[in-house]
Amino acid sequence: MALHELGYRCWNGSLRSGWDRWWVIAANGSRLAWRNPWLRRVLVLAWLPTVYLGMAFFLYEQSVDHSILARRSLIFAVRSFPESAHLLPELKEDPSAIRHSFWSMLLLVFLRYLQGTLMVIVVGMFAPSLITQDLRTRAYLLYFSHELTSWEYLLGKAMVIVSYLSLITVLPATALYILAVMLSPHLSVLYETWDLLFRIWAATLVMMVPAASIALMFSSMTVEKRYAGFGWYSLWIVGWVAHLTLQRVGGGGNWWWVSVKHTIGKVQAWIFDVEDLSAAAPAMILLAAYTLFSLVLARARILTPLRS
Amino acid sequence: MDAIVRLDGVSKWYGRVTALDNVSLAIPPGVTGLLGPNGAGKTTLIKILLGVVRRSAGRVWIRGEEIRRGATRFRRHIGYVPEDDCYLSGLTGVEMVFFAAQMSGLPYKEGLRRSHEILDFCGVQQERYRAVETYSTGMRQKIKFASAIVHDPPVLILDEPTSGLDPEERDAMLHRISLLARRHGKSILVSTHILRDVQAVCDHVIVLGNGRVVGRGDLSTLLAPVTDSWEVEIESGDLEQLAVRLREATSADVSVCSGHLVLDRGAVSSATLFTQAQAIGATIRVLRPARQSLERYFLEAVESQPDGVA
Repeated sequence: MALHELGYRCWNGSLRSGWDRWWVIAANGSRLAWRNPWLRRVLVLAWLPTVYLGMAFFLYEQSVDHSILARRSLIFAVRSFPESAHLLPELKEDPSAIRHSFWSMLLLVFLRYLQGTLMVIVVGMFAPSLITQDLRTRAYLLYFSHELTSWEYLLGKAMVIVSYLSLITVLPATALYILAVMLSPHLSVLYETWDLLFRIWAATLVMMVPAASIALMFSSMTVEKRYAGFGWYSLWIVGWVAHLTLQRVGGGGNWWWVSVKHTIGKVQAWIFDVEDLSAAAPAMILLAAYTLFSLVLARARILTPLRS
Repeated sequence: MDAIVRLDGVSKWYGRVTALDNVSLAIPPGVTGLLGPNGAGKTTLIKILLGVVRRSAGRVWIRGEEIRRGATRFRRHIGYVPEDDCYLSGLTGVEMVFFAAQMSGLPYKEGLRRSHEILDFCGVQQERYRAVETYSTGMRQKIKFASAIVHDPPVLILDEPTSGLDPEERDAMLHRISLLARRHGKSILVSTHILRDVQAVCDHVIVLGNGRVVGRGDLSTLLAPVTDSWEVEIESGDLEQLAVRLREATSADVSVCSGHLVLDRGAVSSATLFTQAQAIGATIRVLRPARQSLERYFLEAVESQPDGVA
C-alpha cells in the first residue's frame, strides 16, 4: 500500500446546487475540442477577414478626413460587397453623413458572408463528435446519474459550440466596432453608433443558436462522427447550391428558404436595417422552427437509449 | 432499521409489456443483493430509482424524500455504477473521476483532491494518467466505481460491479463494497448474477422474477444451517465414489451438490464417513452442518412464480 493511501474517507463538505451542471459539460467539451490543433489553426485563420474589414474602417475614417486617396481605395475595397451599392454615391460625396449605414454594412458583410461561411467549417470540425461519442461510449449513463436534465445536457453541449463561434463572430465583430470607434476623429460617434454593438450581438445569436441546435441534432443521430459531419456539411452545401441554382434558373426570386445560410442572412440583414421586418419575418419563423425541431429531435435521441 | 430506499406499488409498463408489477420493497442500510434472471426487471428497477425511467404507477422515497417526476436533486444521494461499459472519450482516468466530482457538485479544488484520494482507494495508481480508452475492462470498472463514490453518496447502486475483474480484483472490489457498507454506513444495492458475490458481501437479498418481488430476506436467515444434514468437502479423491460407498454402507440419502456432499446426519456417523473416505484415499477438508444454498433458494423463488408478465 502506498504511503499516501488513506483508505476511504468520508467527505463532509456541502455540494453545489444543481443549476450549473451544464457549465461543467460546456467546460469539459470546450477543453476537449481545444486539443485539436487544426481547430486552433482555423480559429486563427478565421480572424483574417477582421484585418480586411479593419482596413476598410481605417480607410473610411481617412475618407471622412477628406483624403481622396483613401476615398478611392475605400470604394475599390467595398464595391464588391452586395450591400454597398446604395452607399457608393454618398461615399463619393460625403462619407461622414453615412457613418452608421456604412459601419452597419461592413459589420453585416463580415458576419453574414465571411464569418457565416467560416462558421460552417469551424463547427464541422468539432461539433459532430459532441453527442456521438457519448452515445458510442454510453457516457449518458454517467451524465444522467447526476443532477442533470436532458435540456441542461443539451445546453452544456450547445455552449461548447457557442463558445467557439463567439471566438470567430462576436469577439472579432466587437473588436472591429471598438477599432472603428478608436479610429474615428472624436468619441461622439459612440452616440451615433452605440446601437451597432447590440446589433452585432443579436446578429451573432441568430447565427449561433440555430447552428448549434442543428449541429447537435446531427451529432445525436448517429454514433459515428463522420456521418454526423457529413450531414452537417451536406446541409449547408446542398442548401447553398440549391439556392444558387434556383436563383439562376428562376431568374431571381425569393429562394432564400432553401438554404439555412441564406435564411440566417435574411434575418441578419433585418437586424442591420438592410431588410424590412416584413421581409425577414418568414425567415425568423423558419429559423425558430429549425431550432425547435433540432432540439426536440436531439433530446429524443439522447433519451431513447436511456429509457430502453 | 429505517429503510434508506423505499418503493410502494411501483409498476412500469412498456406498452403491453409489464417490466415491473406492483413492486413494494424497502432497502435497509447494509448491502442488499438484487437477484433475478434476465428480463426480471432489475435494470428497470434501477433506472426508476435513478429517475431516468418514469414509473407508470407507485411511489419511491430515497432517504425519506419522495421522488417526484422530473426531479433530479435526489441523485446527489446516489452513486451509480452501470453494468455497461461507460466512459468519457478523450479523458484520462483521473479527469473522468474529476468530471464526475464536478457533476456531483464538489468544489473544483476539493473535487481534484478527492478524485486522487478515491483512485488511491480503488487501487488505480499511475494508470490514472492514461486515456480511459486504453484501459482494460477491469480498469474501467474501477474508474466507474471511483466516479460513483467520489462525492461520498449515502446510497450506492452497483450493477454487476465485479464483471470483467480478475479473481484478485474481484475480491478487492467486494472488500471495498463491504468496507463502505460496514464501516461507513452506506446503503448499497448490488445487482448481479454472481451468487457467490452476493453470498460474500450481502446482508439482504431481493429476488425479482417476472417483474415481481418473489423472494426477500436477510441472508443469514435464508442461509441458516439445516440442522439434520452434514455438508462435506474433500480435498483429494472422487466425490461421486465416496457418495456411492456411503450409500452402500449406510443406505442413507447422500447427494452431491456444487462440489460437496450433503448427507443425513442421523444415518451416517462420523466414524463411517472417515472410514469410507480413507478407503478411497480422500481427505475430509470441511465437515459442517449443511446450509441452505443461495442458488437453490434463488431457483425455487424464481420458479415459484407463474409466467404472465415481463
